[in-house]
Parts: sequence; C-alpha cells; structure tokens
Amino acid sequence: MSDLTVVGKRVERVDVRAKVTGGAVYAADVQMAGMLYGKIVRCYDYAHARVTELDLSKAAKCKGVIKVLGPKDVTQKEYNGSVLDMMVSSDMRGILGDIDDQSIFTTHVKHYGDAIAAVIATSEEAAERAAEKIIVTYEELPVYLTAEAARQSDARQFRPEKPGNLAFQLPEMAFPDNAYAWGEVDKSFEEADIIVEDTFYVPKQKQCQMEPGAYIALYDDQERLNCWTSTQMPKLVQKKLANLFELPMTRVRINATVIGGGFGARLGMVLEPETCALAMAVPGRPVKVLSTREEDWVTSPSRHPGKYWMKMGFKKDGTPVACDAKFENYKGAYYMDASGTAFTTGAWLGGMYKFDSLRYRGESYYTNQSVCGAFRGYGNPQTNFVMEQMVDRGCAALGVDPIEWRKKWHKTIGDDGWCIGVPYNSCALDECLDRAAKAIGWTEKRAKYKNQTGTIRRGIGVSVMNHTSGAMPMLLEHTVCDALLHQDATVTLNLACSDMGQGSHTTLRQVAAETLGFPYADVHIAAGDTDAAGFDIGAHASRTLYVGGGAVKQACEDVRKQIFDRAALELGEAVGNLYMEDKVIHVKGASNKSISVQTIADQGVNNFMNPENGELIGQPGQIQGYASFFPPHNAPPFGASIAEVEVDMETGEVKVIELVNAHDVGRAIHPGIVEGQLDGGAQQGLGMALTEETYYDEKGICLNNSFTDYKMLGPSDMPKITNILVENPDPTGPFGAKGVGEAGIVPPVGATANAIFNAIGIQILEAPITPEKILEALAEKD
Amino acid sequence: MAQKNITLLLGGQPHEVINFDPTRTLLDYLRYDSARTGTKEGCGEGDCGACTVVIGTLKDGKLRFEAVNSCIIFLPTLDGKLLLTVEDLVHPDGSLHVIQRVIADLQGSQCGFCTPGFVMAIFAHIRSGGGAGLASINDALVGNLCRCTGYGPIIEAVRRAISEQVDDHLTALEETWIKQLAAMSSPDTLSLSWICPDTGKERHYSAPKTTAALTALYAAYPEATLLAGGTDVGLWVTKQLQSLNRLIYLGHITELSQITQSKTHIEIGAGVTFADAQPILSAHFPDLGEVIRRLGSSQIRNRATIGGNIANGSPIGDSMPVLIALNTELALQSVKGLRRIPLEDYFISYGRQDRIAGEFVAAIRIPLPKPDQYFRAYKISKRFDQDISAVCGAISVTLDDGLISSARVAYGGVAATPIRALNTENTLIGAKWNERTIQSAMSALKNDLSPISDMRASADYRLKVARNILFKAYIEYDTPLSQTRLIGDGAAE
Ligand SMILES: Cc1cc2nc3c(=O)[nH]c(=O)nc-3n(C[C@H](O)[C@H](O)[C@H](O)COP(=O)(O)OP(=O)(O)OC[C@H]3O[C@@H](n4cnc5c(N)ncnc54)[C@H](O)[C@@H]3O)c2cc1C
Ligand code: FES
Ligand code: FES
Repeated sequence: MSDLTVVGKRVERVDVRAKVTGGAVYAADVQMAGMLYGKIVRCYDYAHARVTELDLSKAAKCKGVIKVLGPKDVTQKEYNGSVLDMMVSSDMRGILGDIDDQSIFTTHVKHYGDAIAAVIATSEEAAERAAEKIIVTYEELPVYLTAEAARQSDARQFRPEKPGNLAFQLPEMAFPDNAYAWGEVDKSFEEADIIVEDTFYVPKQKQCQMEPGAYIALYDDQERLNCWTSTQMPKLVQKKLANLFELPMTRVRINATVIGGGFGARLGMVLEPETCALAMAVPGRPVKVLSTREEDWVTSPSRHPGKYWMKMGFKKDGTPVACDAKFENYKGAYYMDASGTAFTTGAWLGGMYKFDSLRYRGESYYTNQSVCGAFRGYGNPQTNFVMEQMVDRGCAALGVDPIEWRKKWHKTIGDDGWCIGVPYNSCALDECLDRAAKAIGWTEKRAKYKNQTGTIRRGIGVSVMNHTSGAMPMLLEHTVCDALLHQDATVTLNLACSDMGQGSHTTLRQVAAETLGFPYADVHIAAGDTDAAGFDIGAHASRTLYVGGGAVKQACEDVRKQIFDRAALELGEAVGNLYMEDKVIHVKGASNKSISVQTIADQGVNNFMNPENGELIGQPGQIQGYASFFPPHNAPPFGASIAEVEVDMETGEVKVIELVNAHDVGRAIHPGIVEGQLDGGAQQGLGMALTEETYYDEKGICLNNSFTDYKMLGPSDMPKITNILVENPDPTGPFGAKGVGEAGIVPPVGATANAIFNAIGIQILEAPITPEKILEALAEKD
Repeated sequence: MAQKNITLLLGGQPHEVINFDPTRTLLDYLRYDSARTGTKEGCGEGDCGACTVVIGTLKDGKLRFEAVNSCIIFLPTLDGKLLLTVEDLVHPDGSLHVIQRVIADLQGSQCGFCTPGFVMAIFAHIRSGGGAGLASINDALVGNLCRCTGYGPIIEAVRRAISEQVDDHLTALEETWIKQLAAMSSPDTLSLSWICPDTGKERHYSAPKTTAALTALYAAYPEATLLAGGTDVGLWVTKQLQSLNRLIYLGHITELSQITQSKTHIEIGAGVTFADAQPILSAHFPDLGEVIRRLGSSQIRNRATIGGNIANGSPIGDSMPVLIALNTELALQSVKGLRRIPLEDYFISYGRQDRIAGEFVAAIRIPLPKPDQYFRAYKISKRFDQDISAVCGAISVTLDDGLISSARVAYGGVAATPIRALNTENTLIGAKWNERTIQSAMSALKNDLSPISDMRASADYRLKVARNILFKAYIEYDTPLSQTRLIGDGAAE
C-alpha cells in the first residue's frame, strides 16, 4: 500500500485553526436571543437521604425567576443515562437485566450531588440566587460506600429488582456459574507449582475532560425538542431523549457542539434530561445549563472503582495454568454501565494470556458514590493494574524475565480474543515488546537496578494489553454514511460520528479522500446534526475510525463506482479498462480517451438535452454514495509500555522518568494523531497509577471534586515519552487501521506499578500508588 | 463622589467599563460582556489555566507581560492595564500567530478546550524572555492542565516558537500601547461603588496608591477586605459565593512592592509577588527559591503576594515555614505605627493572627545567609507544582566547628498554624552535627507536631515525612554528591 497519498500523512486537523484562535464554539459559548438560564439544586449535605419537604415558593418569588421545577413538575419516567441498553438486542437486554433507575429530579437522594429541583431565570446570577432560596428538608439514611457495606443483609435496598444491592453479576444464562471462563480452574491450580494471589483496589478515576458540562435546550415552535450538547453519542442521545419525553425521533434534534474532551464522560446522557425538561417547561425559550467543575464531577460518570481479587498459577517452566479473578465494583448510585464494565474488565483479562483455564466473575454493587460509567479503557486499566502486577510477581517467583515470559505466553492470531469464540486475526505484540525493550535499554537497566542503596532508587517495568476496535460482537456496531458528489467534483460526507478531539473528522476525511482518489482538500465532513445524519452508535470503544471509517470507505467506494460506471458509458469502455489520475478518468493504453470527474459530476447535476438530437448530455442524476456499515470484526489493537521510575525512599515520592509505548495500530492513518492518542492516554494512565482517586468521607461527601484537590499530572510531572507505532495492517480495518483511542491509557498503568516493584521490591496493591502507601510498605518490610 | 468606571486597553483600544460589580471576574467580563468566548472556564479557581489571559503593565516605561488566571481576578484591578486574549493574537489578515501555528502543526491541540489558555501562557513566557530549556518551559506551563495531549507536543511547540523568533503584528503596537497606558495612569485613589440591582446592596472598591492612603482608609474601614493578588480572595467569591462589599486593593501601592537589600538583610514589601521575589530569594537561598518555584503556577505567582500568603495565615501556606526557619521578621503597619515581630509569633491559632483592627502586613525582613549557615527546605506534594503541600519543612543550622550553635526548624501542614519545632531545635542546639543527632532530632519531632489526617495525607505520613526531611537535609550535607531528590524535570531532556 505504499502508493497511498493521503492516508499515513500528517495533514492539518480539520478543527485545529478554530481551536488555536479561540473561534471554536463549545456549548458554553453558544448564546441565543431570549436565552434563559437553569440552575439545578443538588443535595450537598447527604449522600443518602429522603426528601421530606421541598419548599419552592421563596425561590419562585425571586427577581428574574421564570419557573421553579420540582420532581413532580417533570416527567415521571425513569431513564438510564448510559446507552448500553440500546446497543444490545432486546433478548440480551433481558438477560443482562439493565434497568432504568434515574429520575430527572429525585426525592430519594442516593449520592452527593443528586438533583432535587431547578430554577429557570433570566440570568445565571438570578438563577443561582433563587436556587439558594429553595428549602429542602431531609431525613438522613445510612450510607453505603463500598460493595462490602452495600451487600450486608440489613442494608437498605437501592432497587427492588436488584436484591442485595447487587446491580449486576454475569448472568447465569450467558455465563454458567456466573463466570466468564474456560477450562477447569480448580483442577488446573492443582497442577501449578507456583501460585500467586492478592486483593487489589482500583480507584475512582475521573475523566477530567477540560470542558465542564454545558447544555442548551429549546422546545421550538414546531414542538421540536432541540438540544445543543457536546455528547459523544448524538444519535443515541436523540433516541434516549425521544423515549424519555415520549416524542417521535423527528421531533428531537441534537446539535452536537465542539467537544472539549470526552473520554467516556459524555458517553450517553449527563444533564441532557434535566436541561430538556427545563426547556419543555418554557416553550419557545432556549435554556442554558452550565455545570460548575464541582458539579460536573459528581454528575457525570467516573471509572468503576472496587476490589479486584486475582490468583494465578504457573508451572515451573512458566506455563500459565490457571487464572481466577473477581472484580467487585462500587457502582455508584445508579445502574448506568453496571453490566458493561463488569463484563469487559474480565474480557480484557481473558484476551491476554494463554492460561489453560480461566475464571472471572464481575459484580457491580450499588453504593452511595456518584455514578460510574464509561472511561477510556472501559475496565482495561483496572485489569492492567492487577493482572500485570500478578504476572510480574509470577515472573519473580519463576526467575524469568517479564518480557520474555510475556512474549511466550500472550495470546496471538488464532487464539480466542477478548470475546470467546472470536479469534484474533492480527497481532504484532512481539514486535512491540522487542522495539520498546530496545528503545529504553531494558536488559541493561534491569540488570543495573538490582541491589540498589541510597535515597533514590530506580526501577523499570513492563506491561502489555489487548483492546478492541468497536465492541462487535458484544454490542451493536453500525454507522451510516452519505457521500454527496457536488457538481464541482468535491464531496461532502454526512454522518453522525463525533470528534471529541481525538481527530476522527480528520482521519475520516483522509480515509474518504484516499478511497475516492481525491485530494484531501476536496472532501468535507459534515457531522453533528441528527436531523441530517443517519444512524451511528457514537464515539466509544475505540471504534470511530474503525467502524466510521469503514462506513466512509464504503460510501466513497460507492461514489467511485458510480463515477467509473458513468465514465465507462461515456467512453464506451469496460470499467476494468479505466483508471483515474488527478480526477480524470483515462482508458488504459489510450492516452487520448478520457473524461474528468468534474464533467461527470457537473453533468449529473446540470443535465441538459442536446437540442439537435434530443439526447441527454452525459448521465443525469447527482451521484451520492451510501453505506450502512456493520463491521465484520473488532481488529484488536495490542500494545506494550515500559516505564522507568525513580522512588524517593524518604518521602515515598515517585517520578516516572521515561516511558516507551509501542502499539500495534494496524495502520496509522495520521501518525501525529495516533501519537497524540498515546501521549494523552499516558497522562491518564500514569495519573491513575500515581495520583488520581476520588475521596469520600464516611458520610459520603465527596472531598475532592475539583482540580484543587484531585491531582492529575501536569507538564512537569510527565516523563520523556517515546511512541513506537508498529504498523501491521489489520485485514478488516479501513486501510488496515485499528482503533487507538483507548489503548494508550492502559499499559502505562501496569508498567508504572511494575517499575515501582522493580525499584523497591514491593508491590503496592492499591492504586493510586501514593507516596504515603510507599512509605507504609517500606516500613512494613523493615 | 466615588467613580463608576475604570479604563483598560482591550483589543488595542481604551475601553471604559462603567457601573459594574467590583467583584465581577475578568473572565465573566470577557465571556459575557465582551463576547470574547475564546477564553474558557475549566474550574473557576486558578487550577486549570483554561482562562489564562495576558496582562500588560507599564513598568519603568516598559511593557511587562504576565499570564494570569482571569477566572479569579476582579475586573477593577485591570484599571490602567493592557489586556490580551487569544483573539488578539491572530494577525489582522486572519493568519495564525506563530504560537498558534506551531501548536496546530505539532499536534498541540486535540479537543482544544485548554488551547487558548496555553497559547496565552506561552505568549507571556516568550514575551518575558523565557527560555527554551525544559525546566523553564515547564515553569511557564504548569498552571495549564491538558487532558488530551500529554503536554509533550505543546512543550515542543514552545521550543519551535522560540526558535522561529518571528516578530508578530503585536510587537509593532507596543510603542502605541505604552503611550496609551501612560496617558491612562492617574495618581489618585480609585474608588468605585456599585449597587446590586437584585439585592439593592452597595459594594465598594478602593485602590489607594500610597501606604499613607491605605493606612487611613483601612483605619476608617477596618471591616474591609484587603485584596492583594486575590489568589485566595478571588476564590471566596467564585467558590464560596461570598459577598465582599468593601474591598481595598493593594496592587497600586508602589511602596508595598519594593525589594531592598542591606548589609544584613533583604526586605520585601508585602505586595511583592512571588514571581518578583523569586530571583533574589533564589540567589541567597536556593531551596527557598525552589519552594517558590513550586508554589502554585506561573499564573498564580504572577499575582500572589508574600504578604497575602502570610496574612491569609493558612497552615498549609508554603512560604511561612521556610521564612520562619530563616528567622524572618514581619512588619505590621497601622495608624498606630509600624511594629516588627518574629514571623512565627504572628500565627496565634487556626484562623487567628496577631493583627489589630486596621493593621496590615507591610513587609518582611530576612537576614542574609551567613557562611556557616546550612539551610534546606522541602515541599512534599502529589504534583511537583500547582499542588497544596502535604508537608512543607525547612531547617537552618549554624555550624561551629562541627557543633550546632543555633538551629531553626519549621513546618507547614503539620499543625493548626505554620510552626517552629522547638523541641527538635533544642535537641540540635549544642550537639554535634552527625547522624546520631539527627536521629534524636527526628524522634523529638513528635513532640512538636500535631498533624491531622485528611484526603491529602494521613497524620502518620505527615509525621514520618517531616522526620525524613531532616534526615535528607543531613544526607545532603554529609554526602553532597549522592542523589537525594527526584530527577524532576531534568528527566525529559
Ligand atoms: C491555584 C492556586 C494554587 C495555589 N498554590 C499555592 C501553593 O502552592 N502554596 C501556597 O502557599 N499557596 C498557594 N495558593 C494560595 C495563594 O496563592 C497564596 O496564599 C498567596 O500567597 C496569597 O496571596 P495574594 O496576594 O493572592 O492574597 P489575597 O488573595 O489577595 O489575600 C489573601 C488574604 O490576605 C489578606 N491580605 C493580603 N495582603 C495583605 C496585607 N498586606 N496585609 C494584611 N492582609 C493582607 C487578604 O485580605 C486575604 O485575607 C494557591 C492558590 C491558588 C488559587
Ligand atoms: S478556569 Fe481554571 S484556572 Fe481559571
Ligand atoms: S487539547 Fe483537550 S484538554 Fe488540551
């Protein structure tokens, strides 16, 4: 494929000029005539309480207030902010047991920041002032912050349909013994010479997308509900809102604004239901709802935290015989993605190594924490923290090199992937490991860092991962794309795929231009208006380029085919005899016979009859390509990271000094964008390993829902990063591409933990690995 | 009669802002009143940098550019200043400013929400002669969070922008700006008042230009809130939603922003920002310089004053323990006159300081280092910069032929106020400077500290690390060539 002209090039991002000049319009920047402002009143006194009295009257009398709404003033329908229920068949939905358990405003507070009521006013300040006048009386209820607490027999039940507050466990019907499993685990352990086992904790990491939630809704004079939002999933949110407000889809329109980062926080609905409910109360007036950072923190989903137990058995020769694991996550107050993450966390585990047998159980427990949902990696960073430390512990016991062991025992082409029964069709992990090891000097450093003394100790650690490009076959994967050939032979693609900053509109445009054989400049991606675009699942599961790109490619092939068919007719030649160069179609071997795409496109639109003979000049009809694309596979990306750290033995502080990421990306449609995904993923993965956790006090009050107290890494905290892109084209991806949106966050997590293990000889079982935990562990060891 | 307006240079034009809430933030003014929505709000408390803009100040006939967090700055403090936002950087013909172009070229922007803030932080860095070394770039950028790019591409973009050294269209305007700003300046106290249309309450703002005017004004209104850099006070409004109805701004008082050095000491006015104090303090006390370098971010240090840090009296403020260890004296001023007290005596208990009504912090005095003085300071936090310390500790000993003739040890983050560790000092004084002495000082420390556990660190960790800091200080003396500190930002070079 060396003759690619657009794919593989570092073209300018479609959105970057607007972004560097401040011209990009994010939801909070949208101003409209007659705009009203909504302020949601939330419970910040309790994490679990019943509202016994709600007095809205004082607020209603405040200056500038248009309306005040309580729980009874909005639809009584419940909803599920997540979208998983829309990605599976109705049969599967029944088996999984996904439920709707969220209300727009509640009388039963289940987490710090739950919504009680709202004010609509003529200014933000007036709305805020009035909101303070709403008087709520609560009856405090017992608080359950962990799975252990929530499943106590005398604990209050969050939902009658979910006894024991067990929101989800792998259902017996699809997973016998409630486990994702193969082989006979108990028997396999009997064959093991070495067994390692421990219980870990993985943190409630927050996406911290830099743009806090902002929403505008308008119930317009055609009785249509319009919502401006930076959701990752315009089409599913359109359908979710249609369901919630019982409107046909033709009366719900999502205008996707520029997304200031997603990472899962905008997967599904966040404050769209509240904002739309407010707008429907004041028809004809747009209502804007801005989340403060603190509010965004506790209303949008986080990563699933919880206890993660794992046991691995190996034979003396290193053979991995058995793996047993259980992830009990602290789901938060509402169901959301209870099923999805509980499953995938194990799927990534199952997809990694050739254990003779494996058993994974995943359980989601309701708790009085804020909700959990999707976050880049979707269970994979959690598994990486635990699995990779267990493997390194095994390697230490076996006395083998962690890279050599991984190379020998990771799954590869032909082995079952993360979904049992769907084998891997490509894998370049060995090359990733080799190149990463060489780049960082693995062998020398591993040897050098044995037996250190002194204040500052160094360590180096490795981690590998498998992921996915789209969630097929577990979830629906489908994108519709229209490609319209204008009369000047340029093409506009219409589709609903969103660009959260990951660069998808740029790479999709590259795929389109390459497929059409047109210059990059001749293609435009129109996206973001659900009135115009066909179905698309939305941006999740590293799927936009893989699935969206598949749709774009197919729609553009359709355009190309129609162009060639018409050229064949005009030139009187078989399609097989034609080729295109610089948008002119030539006949092979006949340099004088040609027709330009421009002529075909123009004649398709401006079609006239020849007055002399009554015949049409050229072929009539504007050419439009179309694809309703379902991907054939999930093109598994693999990756490895090697991290080198320094640990201060006196303060416990850790600094990652170098990180090498080598990823099997299939093909880098835009290498700069791929590297950007890995760089950004690394910032999040290192943060999860070292600093990021949401803290609650015993009453369930969140202690650090702000950047003051929740520390993600800044510029000076980052290591030197080298990214190695291993391009081994996937047979099913557009031009061989695999999804890379999530891969980057995963292996830095385990690599950092293992590097610390290498430096101090102790494994820290709870993420984030704070200085405090290190000093504690060192003291225990002494 | 109180004035109702201020004047600032925006988009190269003098803009009068009339009849406004003196606690209106600069960010709201930009986004809502000036339709400059390029500047973003990511946190509203100075932590993310999305709201970074550049303020130009006329100083000694020259323009000085500083990046600041517009979200916590009150609009009237912009009186007589030049304001530049991301919109101003684009060339009049629509082409990108070099900083914007390199960010675009090098993948420095993904979702773009942080980008305008980075662009402005970089602009300030370059315009104030910032270097292309990694540490220097990091220092300029640590106040900006990005969740998409991992920062590497942005750092690379700064290097590229510096190496391209392209004059932009703004350089040519500087002469005009200087003239305009000079014409705008006035010697009088600025007084504003405003009546809230919704509540009917009146709000006042005064900005005296001399210490004498401040002394009189504060005596007349001792209940007023003194506003220096506003990096604490700003948050009272944006986060705690307090109504501050009488503000006295110290930022225009030249006397408070003086730094002087005598034979025996350095004197620093209360209104001196950490950015301005850093060079001289670093020169004499490298570790104090290092603590200041890690205090907040460049945006914060450009505003935050030493006086504000001390006056605020927080137990986790970073400058105090270090200054106490250095035997700093505090000067307090009121109509009754000037009095000087040892800095540690100022902190009485949590939230209570030794300051009478109408009295303000005027200056601090730090004795110059002596040849036999050994001094170390450490800030322990999760992030290298822009983070509240779990513990900040400092030790200063005078060594006389291997004996410790005097010792001062002080900590922040381990008690209700910044404190001196007197028991520990006593174990040190008169003893030999060796590992055994340090060990006994470390054991004595538990009698000095009363740390609490919170989300940032447990009491146990605080105590442990406070002890280990002493050990580290000793090791650094004993084996000066051994590595005792994390490689920090040397790593990526
Ligand atoms: C993002 C961020 C990061 C921060 N990081 C750090 C950090 O790392 N370490 C740290 O120590 N602090 C930090 N701070 C806190 C703050 O920046 C410092 O306390 C700063 O020194 C306060 O100075 P200021 O001039 O901004 O004070 P202001 O906010 O203006 O005032 C603070 C208090 O002091 C009073 N005051 C000010 N000047 C005087 C005076 N001359 N006499 C009497 N009273 C006066 C005010 O009335 C007020 O009560 C941070 C703040 C933010 C927003
Ligand atoms: S908005 Fe975050 S620093 Fe100002
Ligand atoms: S580009 Fe998204 S936060 Fe920086």
